[in-house]
Amino acid sequence: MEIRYTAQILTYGQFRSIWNLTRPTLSLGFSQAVFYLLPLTNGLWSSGDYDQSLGGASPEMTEKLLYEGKAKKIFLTESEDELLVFYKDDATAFNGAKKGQIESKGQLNNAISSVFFELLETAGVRSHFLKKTGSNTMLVKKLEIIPLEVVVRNIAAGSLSQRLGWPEGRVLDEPIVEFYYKDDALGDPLINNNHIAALKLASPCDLAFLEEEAKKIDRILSAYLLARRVRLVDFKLEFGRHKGQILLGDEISPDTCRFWDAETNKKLDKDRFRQDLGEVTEAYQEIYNRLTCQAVQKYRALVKVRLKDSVLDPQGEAILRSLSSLGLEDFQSIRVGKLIDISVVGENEREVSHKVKKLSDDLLANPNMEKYSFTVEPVK
Amino acid sequence: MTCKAAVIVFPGSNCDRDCVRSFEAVTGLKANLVWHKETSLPNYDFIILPGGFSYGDYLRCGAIARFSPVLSEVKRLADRGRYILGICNGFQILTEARLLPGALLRNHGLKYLCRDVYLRVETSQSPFTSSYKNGQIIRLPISHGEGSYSLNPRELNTLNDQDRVVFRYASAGGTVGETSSPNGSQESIAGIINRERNVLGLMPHPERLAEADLGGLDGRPLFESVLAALGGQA
Ligand SMILES: Nc1ncnc2c1ncn2[C@@H]1O[C@H](COP(=O)(O)OP(=O)(O)O)[C@@H](O)[C@H]1O
Ligand SMILES: [Mg+2]
Repeated sequence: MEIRYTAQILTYGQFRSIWNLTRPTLSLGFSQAVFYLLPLTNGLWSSGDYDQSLGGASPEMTEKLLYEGKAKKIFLTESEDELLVFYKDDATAFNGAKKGQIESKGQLNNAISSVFFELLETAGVRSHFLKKTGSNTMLVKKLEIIPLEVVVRNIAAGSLSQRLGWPEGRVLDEPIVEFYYKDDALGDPLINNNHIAALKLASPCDLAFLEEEAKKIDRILSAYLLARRVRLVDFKLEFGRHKGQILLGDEISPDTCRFWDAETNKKLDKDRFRQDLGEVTEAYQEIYNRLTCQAVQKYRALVKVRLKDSVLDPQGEAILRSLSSLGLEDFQSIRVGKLIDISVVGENEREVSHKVKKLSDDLLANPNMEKYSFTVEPVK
Repeated sequence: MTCKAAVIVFPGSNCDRDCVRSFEAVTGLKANLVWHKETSLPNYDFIILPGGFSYGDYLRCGAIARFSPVLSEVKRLADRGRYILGICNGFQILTEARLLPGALLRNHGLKYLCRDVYLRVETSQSPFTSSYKNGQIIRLPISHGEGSYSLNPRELNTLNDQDRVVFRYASAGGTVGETSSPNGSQESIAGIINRERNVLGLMPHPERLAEADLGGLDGRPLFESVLAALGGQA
């Protein structure tokens, strides 16, 4: 039977499939399935087995490996209700067809996810996140994962571009929420609410909650990221049940989101790995740096550079002279200057003003002959 | 003699080759073209910033060239007493880089001027003019749209007091007056030197009249002076 097979090597994907197979017949919940399967697998794991597989993991991990997914390992803890998530450097794409490693990805994704979960917590989104416990690990509430990948899209990319023939980068009028059936064997197919009802994955009420929650998360993350000059193109969420409540689970990282630089549209996510664009670690690091830096905003600075009053302006004089031949008599003096229109990002008006002043002093105006003034205002 | 000259090439420089040729023809020394990205010029005793339109002269002439990697090295060498000559756009760069005081503004007539002018050599007390006579009238071409030299009165006094105005525009007869400046330069100033007298900037082009075939030789003594300052003989 299937269960015996899992006792040998239980990857999360396999566990998943078994759960999906056994659940309808045994009508088990996810955590029940874990418990059901664990006695069969427990005996096979000695500490030696998983120490090796951790490869340089922190020593606190004397817990039992519950399952290993493509990007993370999940460990049991002392507490029944809590799990330890270990983020790996392993990367897969195209449903496992492409495999590789991204240096330092585990640490970065753990750190990035922690920042996002904390941000969401303060904005009133409940998640499984308890705390970051190490460079690669976080403690989470154990969830009975709903096998749905909830995807929110703000800009066309990836499979949406393919499905609708929309060019990558097309901005959507409204965010689109999609559901995928989380099943590696089936290739995580796109499904609708009728499928979800038929599969008994979530009640209509729960589904409505998932959709609303996903949109709320989108609003929170998009605003936070845009203030750090990052566009949230799309992202995938997983939810699960914990003591009768639906909580956000899994991770939020460049593995599960598309992030583009707001100015250049440079990709700062796993697409760099998928498409062999290089500088993958750098992109993940960049996202972490942006997340942890001050919010910035776009400003428009207008710098007026003029010749000092004491300096003759032949251009202005020439214009003035030509006016009388046009019959325009009342103009007494004309001096021509430069208007330099600048778009600049910064934390606040003061900081931006400071930067613009330095630019003007160093380059835009020559203090020997010119003076300048400027205005700075935020761009909506 | 092992002395060497570097002619810095900015994107848009166009008198760089003339400078190399004239310097080599007059002094018999070697001059190299050096790209502006260079950060070290260890073996050069004489540096020329040639004319042209560095970086298209957007914003202000010479304003962007000032941030070229090579400019900090030029500054360092200037501090160490090496001879630096800025011609036309090179003069503008030297003022933007604050190696020389003042600024070069739009010609008063607003026109680009490309013609020969007369100059009076105001001082032969410099490594660039020792082969001229004090008060000598020479003829050199100018070729610029922004050559109107401007400086505040206080600093202008200092320049005069320290004998640092090197060339003034003059009439063919040698008089310097209100009308002798083709571009509106204050006090008809065409070239100045720094206090330490090792950095010269001038708008006219000595490199364009340094060989007989070119119709004049009045640029020649400038390079001969430099040769002498470097310890060589013409
Ligand atoms: N709090 C949680 N409780 C139980 N399972 C979780 C929790 N958070 C995430 N998971 C599951 O653990 C797995 C994490 O490992 P991952 O490498 O992402 O697996 P996969 O290869 O299946 O995507 C995910 O599949 C996710 O559904
Ligand atoms: Mg996953």
